[in-house]
Amino acid sequence: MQSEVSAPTVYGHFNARFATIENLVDIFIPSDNFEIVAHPSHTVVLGPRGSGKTCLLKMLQPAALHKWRSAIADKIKSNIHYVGVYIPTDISWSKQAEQLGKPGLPEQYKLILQYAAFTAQVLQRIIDTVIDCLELNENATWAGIVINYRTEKELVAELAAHFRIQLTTLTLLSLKQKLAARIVDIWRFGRQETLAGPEGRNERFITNPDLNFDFFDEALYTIGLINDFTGKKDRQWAFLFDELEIAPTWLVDRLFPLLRSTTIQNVFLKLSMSPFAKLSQASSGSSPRAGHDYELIRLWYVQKTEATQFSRQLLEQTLAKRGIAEVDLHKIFGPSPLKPSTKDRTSGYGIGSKSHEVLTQAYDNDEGFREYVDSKGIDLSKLDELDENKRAAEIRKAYPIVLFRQEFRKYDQNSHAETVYRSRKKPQIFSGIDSFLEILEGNPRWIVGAANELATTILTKKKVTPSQQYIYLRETAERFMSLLKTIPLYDRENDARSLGDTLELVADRIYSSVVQARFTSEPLGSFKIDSRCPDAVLESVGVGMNAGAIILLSETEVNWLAPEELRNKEFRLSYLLSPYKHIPFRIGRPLPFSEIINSSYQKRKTKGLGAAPIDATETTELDLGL
Amino acid sequence: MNKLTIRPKSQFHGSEFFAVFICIGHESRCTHFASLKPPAKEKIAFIYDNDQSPRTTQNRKIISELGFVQLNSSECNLRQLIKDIVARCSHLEEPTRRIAVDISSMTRELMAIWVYTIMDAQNANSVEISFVYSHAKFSPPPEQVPLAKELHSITPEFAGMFSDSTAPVMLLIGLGYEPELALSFIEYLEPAKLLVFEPAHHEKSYTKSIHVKNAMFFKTIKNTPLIRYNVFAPYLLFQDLESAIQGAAYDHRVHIAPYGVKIFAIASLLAASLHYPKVFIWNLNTDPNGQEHDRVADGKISEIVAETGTV
Repeated sequence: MQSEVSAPTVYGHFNARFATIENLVDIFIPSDNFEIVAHPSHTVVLGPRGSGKTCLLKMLQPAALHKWRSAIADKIKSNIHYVGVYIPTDISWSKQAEQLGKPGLPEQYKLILQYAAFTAQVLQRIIDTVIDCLELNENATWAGIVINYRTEKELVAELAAHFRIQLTTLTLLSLKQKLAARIVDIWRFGRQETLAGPEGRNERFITNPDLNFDFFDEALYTIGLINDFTGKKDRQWAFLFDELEIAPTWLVDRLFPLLRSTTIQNVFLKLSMSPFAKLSQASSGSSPRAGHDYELIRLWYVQKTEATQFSRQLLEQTLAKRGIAEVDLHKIFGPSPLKPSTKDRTSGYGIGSKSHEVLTQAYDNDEGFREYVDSKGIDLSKLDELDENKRAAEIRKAYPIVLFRQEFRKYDQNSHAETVYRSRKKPQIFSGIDSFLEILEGNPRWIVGAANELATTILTKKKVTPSQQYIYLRETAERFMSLLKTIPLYDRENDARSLGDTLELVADRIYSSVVQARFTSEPLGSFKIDSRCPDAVLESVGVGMNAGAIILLSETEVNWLAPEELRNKEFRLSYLLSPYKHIPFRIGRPLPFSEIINSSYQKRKTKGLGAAPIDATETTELDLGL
Repeated sequence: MNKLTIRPKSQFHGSEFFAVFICIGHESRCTHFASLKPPAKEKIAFIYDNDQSPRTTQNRKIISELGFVQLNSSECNLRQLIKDIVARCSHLEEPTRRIAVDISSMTRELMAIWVYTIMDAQNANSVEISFVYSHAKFSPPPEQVPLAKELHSITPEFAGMFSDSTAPVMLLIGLGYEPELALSFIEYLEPAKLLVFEPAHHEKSYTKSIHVKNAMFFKTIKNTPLIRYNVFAPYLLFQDLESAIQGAAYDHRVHIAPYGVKIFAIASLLAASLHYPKVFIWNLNTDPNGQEHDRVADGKISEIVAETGTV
């Protein structure tokens, strides 16, 4: 496998897909999720882009496990008793497979070609993994394959005969290369067939030695043979299929029923996909079930505290790789204004605390808040005497809302004029290490991107000021939003809007409810795909989920969702959009999504810089034949 | 499959074309090259059936008056039509064994069909195809972000052929007025290597607006190699693209995203033709998001020439 540092993305340079094994291991944090995915069982990993699906699966490869060394690594590795074969199905491959036999070849022939090409790819990956294992020379259950020269020859001869491959050198390497060549041959055959007529096509397809293999049956045959020839008949394997949401339907249709199958022995399937998928298997009654047939891992977080420890570790580890070791993140990023200090909490928001000052100010200035406090029968001067449960229910819940209103509203008691809304250029409310990590949603790509981007500032200044934190988060959110603005959302036939613009409208409504409307302790903060939403919007919402912009709020939902399954579910916006739209990063009352898609749009302009002129003398002189 | 020979200009300067092929669209500039009345035995105008805009109707009238035969997309097999034109042309004597193809209002897909068909041509004599492009007067970038509708290879033939699905992806991307789409595409494809091609124009307002419009893009890609190409020099652009492909095709899956001016798309296709089938060229279907701009010819025409191989 070839690999290198990846090109820049919207969130920085790290991307697990083409990271070297060394880079992957360097950045890897062994979360609870990794321990689950490593179990000797079938597993489905669900997560939006950048959530670490690829990293989890790639870390199960022998080459990665070999490089990964620590006390925790040893513990986890001691429980892995299978050889992991990573099988990518990235966009490039999927789109290429989609075009096999086009234009003109009937669907059944196209499928035969795609199946054959994928089979060759899976076999290639198995052989590649075996080669890796031989090179590692590890006596471990996750890599221990020993083979001598003579056995290799016999094994390769057997495999080549079975797969109808002519080999002059009987080595695993030449078999792998021939399998690569087979993919090219299949492509050529497909191209010829698009030009040839239908006469004799059946015969040509039946007799072509490259075709008519089933990838899974052949994979089982291959590992069976490897086990036999290497004297370990009960060696277990795991096939790690990545990014199945973009894989062809036939592949998913073949794989998912296998999760229920008890007939595949010695093999575990580890499948990764996005939370939203248009799969025929997804909603079928006979679908395999999470908890029964496979373990499910969801790489998104409904509650912001869920990912805190992982996020903190990943940030620390990434900074350490940039030469910033043993950091005190609290010192670097400072406290979060939204989190009352320990002193405030222990004093129960009592007189003299910062929190008490904030609440008192709001009581004096904000009529709605005053009414709220009075209606609850709370005396702000005696908050420390309040029952802890009541304080949590009435005050702690309202506190972040009060802070947001203070940040973005300006009160003028004397004039009794209408409230003025502040256009804060660099609001401080999103700063502090706790807030910073919560806004990054436990998304590894976002966290690693932040660490890399801010490393120089931390090295030189030893801290990241609240303004710098805000600027970084806002710019990242802007870039994220620019991607979302390219995703169409159809609310009726041929009437496309952008998903990004639509989500901005949701955010505007939340801002209005939190900041502009009369105070409520339960403002809007989420949305619901209600029954009045047209079917056409469901797919766009799903695309937003897969992009990480929309988070499903259901704690009990256990599987991936097909379009029709989004209905009556509640969602929130990614907290990364909070600094961009000045909205709280907390769950709030749901807003019917149908109200949003019926609203009008606002246009926005972008600004930028100029560039130097060029010389026009290089212009080609055109010959018009005149 | 024949290798094309690519040249900056025609070898047969001054001689008549066998055929001139244009595509009628809603942009005013689609009539510009035809209005120069290049001498040709056959004049063919291709039109998409679903394009019923009033400006297209007006352009059809102009093209009709210039003596072009109009062919609707539903009424002809385009690949066969191109094959036939090239085959008939190949029987002529050398100075007139040439065809002009105006790409100014062509879809990128139609350009790909042209390039693939001439690569696939099996004729006794070579034929020279001049791809010509009418530059447009400056118009400011659209305010609304265009929406990404569909993403697939430009045609099935240009979907690349990569035998190793784990090989890293290298993306060559052309910039235009759609930086959001370009960024979005980079996120989508997740390339290991990226090379950005920025169009440059002698008219300051054009180059400036490209730079302004792409400010966020440039900030994001930071130290990524950037190649500025002169939109009036398609052959130089072709050479840059070909060289980038040559350097990467051995151990990368090379992809090209032809955003921006159509010069970039045709140069990409011709460069990819020399490395066929090792390059994946994307078709980036967009919805204009309620905006449709006219492009008016500024009088300048650029050309790049492909000569077909022989049997």
